[in-house]
Amino acid sequence: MNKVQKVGSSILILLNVMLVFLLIFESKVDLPLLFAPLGRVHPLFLHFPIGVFFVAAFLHLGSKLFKETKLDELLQFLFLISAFTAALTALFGFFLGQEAGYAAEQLKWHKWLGILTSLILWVAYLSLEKSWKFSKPLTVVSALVILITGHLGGEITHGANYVFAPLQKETEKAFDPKGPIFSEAINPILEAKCLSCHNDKKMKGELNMASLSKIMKGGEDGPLWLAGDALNSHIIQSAKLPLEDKKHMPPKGKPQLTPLEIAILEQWINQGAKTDLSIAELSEGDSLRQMVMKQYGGGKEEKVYEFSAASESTLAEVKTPFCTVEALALNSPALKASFYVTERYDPATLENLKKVSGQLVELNLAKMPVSDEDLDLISSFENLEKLVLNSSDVTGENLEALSKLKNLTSLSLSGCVLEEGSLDKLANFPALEQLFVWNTGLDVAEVDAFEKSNKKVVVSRGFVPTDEDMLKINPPSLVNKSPVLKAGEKVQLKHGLPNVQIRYTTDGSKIDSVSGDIYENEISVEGFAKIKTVATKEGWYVSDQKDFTFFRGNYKADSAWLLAPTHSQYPGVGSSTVIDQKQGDKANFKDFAWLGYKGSNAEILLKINAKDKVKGLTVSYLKNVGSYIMPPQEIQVWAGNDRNSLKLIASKSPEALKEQGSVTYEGVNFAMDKSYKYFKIVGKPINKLPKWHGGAGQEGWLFIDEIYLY
Amino acid sequence: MDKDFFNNRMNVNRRHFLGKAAAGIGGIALGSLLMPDLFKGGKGLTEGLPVGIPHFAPKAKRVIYLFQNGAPSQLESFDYKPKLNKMAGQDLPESIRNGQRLTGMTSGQSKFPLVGSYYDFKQYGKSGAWISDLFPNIANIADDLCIVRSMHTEAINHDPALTFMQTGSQIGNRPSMGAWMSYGLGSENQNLPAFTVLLSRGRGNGQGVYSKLWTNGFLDSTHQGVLFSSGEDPILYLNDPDAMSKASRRKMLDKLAELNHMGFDKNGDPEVQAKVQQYEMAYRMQTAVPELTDLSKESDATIKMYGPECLVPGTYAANALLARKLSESGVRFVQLYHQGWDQHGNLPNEMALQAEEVDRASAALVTDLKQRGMLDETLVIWGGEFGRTNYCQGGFTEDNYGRDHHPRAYSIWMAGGGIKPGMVYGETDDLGYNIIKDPVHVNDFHATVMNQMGLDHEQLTYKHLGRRYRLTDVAGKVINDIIA
Repeated sequence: MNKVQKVGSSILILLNVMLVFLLIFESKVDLPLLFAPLGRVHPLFLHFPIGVFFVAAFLHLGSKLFKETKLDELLQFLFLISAFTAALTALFGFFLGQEAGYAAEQLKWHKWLGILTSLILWVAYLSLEKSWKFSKPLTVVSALVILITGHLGGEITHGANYVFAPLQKETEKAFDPKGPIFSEAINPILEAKCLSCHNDKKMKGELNMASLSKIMKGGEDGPLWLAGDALNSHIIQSAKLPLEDKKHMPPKGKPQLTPLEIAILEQWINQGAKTDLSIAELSEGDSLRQMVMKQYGGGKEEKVYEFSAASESTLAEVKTPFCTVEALALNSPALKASFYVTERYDPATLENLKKVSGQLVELNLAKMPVSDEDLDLISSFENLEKLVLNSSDVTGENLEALSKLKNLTSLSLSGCVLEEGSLDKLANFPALEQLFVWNTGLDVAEVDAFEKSNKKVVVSRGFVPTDEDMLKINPPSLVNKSPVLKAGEKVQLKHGLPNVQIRYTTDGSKIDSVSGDIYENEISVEGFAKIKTVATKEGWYVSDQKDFTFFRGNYKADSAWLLAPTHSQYPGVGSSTVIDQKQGDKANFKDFAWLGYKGSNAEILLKINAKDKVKGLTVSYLKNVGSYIMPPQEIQVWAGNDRNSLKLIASKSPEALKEQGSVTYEGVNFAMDKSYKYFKIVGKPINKLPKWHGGAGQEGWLFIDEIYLY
Repeated sequence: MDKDFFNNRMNVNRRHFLGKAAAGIGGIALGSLLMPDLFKGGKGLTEGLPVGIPHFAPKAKRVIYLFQNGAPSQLESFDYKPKLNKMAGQDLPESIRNGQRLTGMTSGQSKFPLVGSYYDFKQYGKSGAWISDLFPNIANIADDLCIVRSMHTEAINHDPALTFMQTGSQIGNRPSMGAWMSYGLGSENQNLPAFTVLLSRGRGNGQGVYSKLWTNGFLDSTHQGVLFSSGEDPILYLNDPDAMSKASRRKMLDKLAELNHMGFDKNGDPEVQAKVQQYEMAYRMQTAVPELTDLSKESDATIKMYGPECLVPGTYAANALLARKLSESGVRFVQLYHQGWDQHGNLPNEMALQAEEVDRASAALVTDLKQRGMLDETLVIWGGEFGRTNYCQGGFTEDNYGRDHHPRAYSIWMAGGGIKPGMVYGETDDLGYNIIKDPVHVNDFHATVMNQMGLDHEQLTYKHLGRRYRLTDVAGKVINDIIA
């Protein structure tokens, strides 16, 4: 016995400390699912402490009536059992209380008293064990606490006022939007939150809110509201004071007005505090009407579904990464399913949705290869309201299968290639309201006829381009990633639209929708090339011209020397700049990939590998007129097999610029008639910028980069 | 052995210091096992509803936010003020300005000459909405739009105003709208991120955008906006390297998952399983993303609707089209930013350039969603971070002027997603300076957007640094008048 008491007693401490702890930190409790069944046995388990304790209490209080010598020991045992079961009951109750669905107000007192019961029974046990003198009065108090706690618990389960309800008559009244707004919407708020302190019996602040006429008399602070002026109305002011403020109403600790309730009162007062106005008279968009509807239900107008929800396990079975199935909203049994990623569409997944055929109200199969036969399966989803088949393989042949769907209100067929007469099959759809037939290839007359004979269906035809929608097509774009082509690489062009013709020239001649060559697969270029392109397509205006420039070399020079210094600001990376097979960034001339010259000539010597048969070379330079970087006045090529005795073999002067133009790569090609061991390139910057330039008369820059050998 | 087991449990629950002591402490420890969030921040579980499911049946399932970055002038777009043209050149009366603070750019001006719109306005649609000649295509869909002319904000400079518009706070690092939606509603399509971001730049004077605008803030990093780059590869590093076949990638992932599961059995860290899931999602994205960028299946009509620019990656039109495709693929929140709307000077010219770039594609997006039956469930929002002043900044000539920042009133429009179509909401005074009817604060705007998505803005909270946060923080009310 002693041992039982010892162990029981320490478990009791543990349980009670835990209870108090849980109570203090209740807001942080997140109950593992494991504990939920324990919570559910609370209503069963609670009978133990009540039963055992009352037996024990009778024995204790009436101990004089018994002569049993071992009564003390028995009593201690019974008290321990009742304290122990009470602690467990309280704990289970706490678990149960964590479940959703209990009114916090109602629960609060039962919870506090439940835990108090556990504590008080524990103290009662201790008092008995230690033979304290207040043991008997404590037993009486405990019994009372148990009774009250039990009653409060009963009210949670069976409803408030359960015991005396049969003696009272029903007074509950439903909200009627056609009734006067004061009695339907305003007074219920006041009754619930104000009346308990401001009534005929209890008139705090000399305010009585038992009826409209009594409210209008006001209290010691004057009238409750000023029609049309919520800001200065006493009721709004006190409701909006901080909770801690003494004048805040309802006082701290009492049920508070919700923000929506305050907003309703405020809006009603601002709109003149008219008592006889009815909600139905207000326009649908009216704020007051919407708030009142929200407060008294019907505001959200949520559709109620009769069918029951699918189980979690069924839901898990029908979901895949490519088919999302989820509830329409919290606590709604209705489901919507959407398929994603065409390439991963699996007909078995659709088949599998049969498991939730009763719950499915929305189904999105856009872009999936759903065929006409699949519509038979879809027609078994009896509660379907919205079906999206955009850009699927449906041809319209089997559409009448869907007429079995009695709730189908919205059907999207946009982007499907529908056969003639498809719409006739939709004539007997009982609930159809919206139909989307954009880009289906259907005859305008057929759609017109359908619209005419199905007045309640809104048919959406979408955007149909007309001749006025002739637009300029965008120019071609480039497949190659870099303007510098590798040995053997060809130029490739592309256009994002199908059936586009690309025209081009490589020799700098004019290009338009009829001139130039038609692009087939690729274009071969060598050295420096400027390709002009346009795109054309039936039903579109020809695109703007777009130019692309390319460099292509076949050989890499053995070595290079800078015979004349660059300008000190733009030294590049020295002589290797021109043979590193990299082209400097045209958007950034400060890049160390350019050799800059001003006021003095560039002189660059190249040594060619003996095995390379060089047919020509290209000197690349930058054109950036805004930054004073101009084409050279002249480029000379000197060649020979002895670096000390080179001969001038060619010279070219690019055409002088007439206007600013854009920033571009430029280059000059020199064809060779025979092989040489050395080349010397001489580049002369222009010494005077042209008259039209902002810096007319000043010296121009020459920026040289890679010298390509081909 | 016992110790191993104990450590393992600790790993799983991350409770390293509890549970070893006598009865009293033991009670606390037992209790604490029931509350994973006791010692760290976390979801506001007690008052917050479960995340991942809308609180009530939503009108909109997805949002496309066409953010006009830099603040387009409401006075040349949707807020018609002919009186400004009549009073052009006169000084803004102090009674109207009423102490409004100015930016450093105009605070030194000795005069504030009023200036009217260089562009004419006409009425469109059944609502008779006034829309300027700069936006002919948007004007054509006036009956699908709800134009709100009474937006107002608290910030007067781009960075705080943008940050406020996007995150509900002028100071950075709170979660962006899209991140809140992702947190509250989860992803519709498990093969794509729930929140994506697309950037484009116009020809007008621009302002920067930066990743803090699409941050997850204190929310889990899975809710961060994913920036799609404008090149051929919208998501970098997603594709397999050259010469790696799909089959060998699959094999590698299977083996890796096997190893990871072994690791999980050993240490019990749930992050390991999360990682396996992420690898799988990336693998699925390898097929989902190319489908998005492939325009070859778009009809000619679609391309004509958006304009041929939509074939050029990185343009506003291309982003608008991509936004439709993303939305169609179940991406919750698509955030576009179009830069270049900061017209302090040269407004008539720059605005025409900007409007030309966005007008056709913006209208096309709404029409495209509508013809696919998606407009009902997709909320499209168009607008900037604040408005522009009714007086001129800098030199004022007949056909050239500028406008400074103006937080007190600006215009945005919304379409679809259960917002009333064909409606104009709110009103400013004759000089377009102050709101005189139905103001909509940024917090109200956020509350309304959340409401359309089926979320109660007061319920969706996240606990961080000791308090619960909302997108609307401690303010905001749903503007019921614009809800259909």
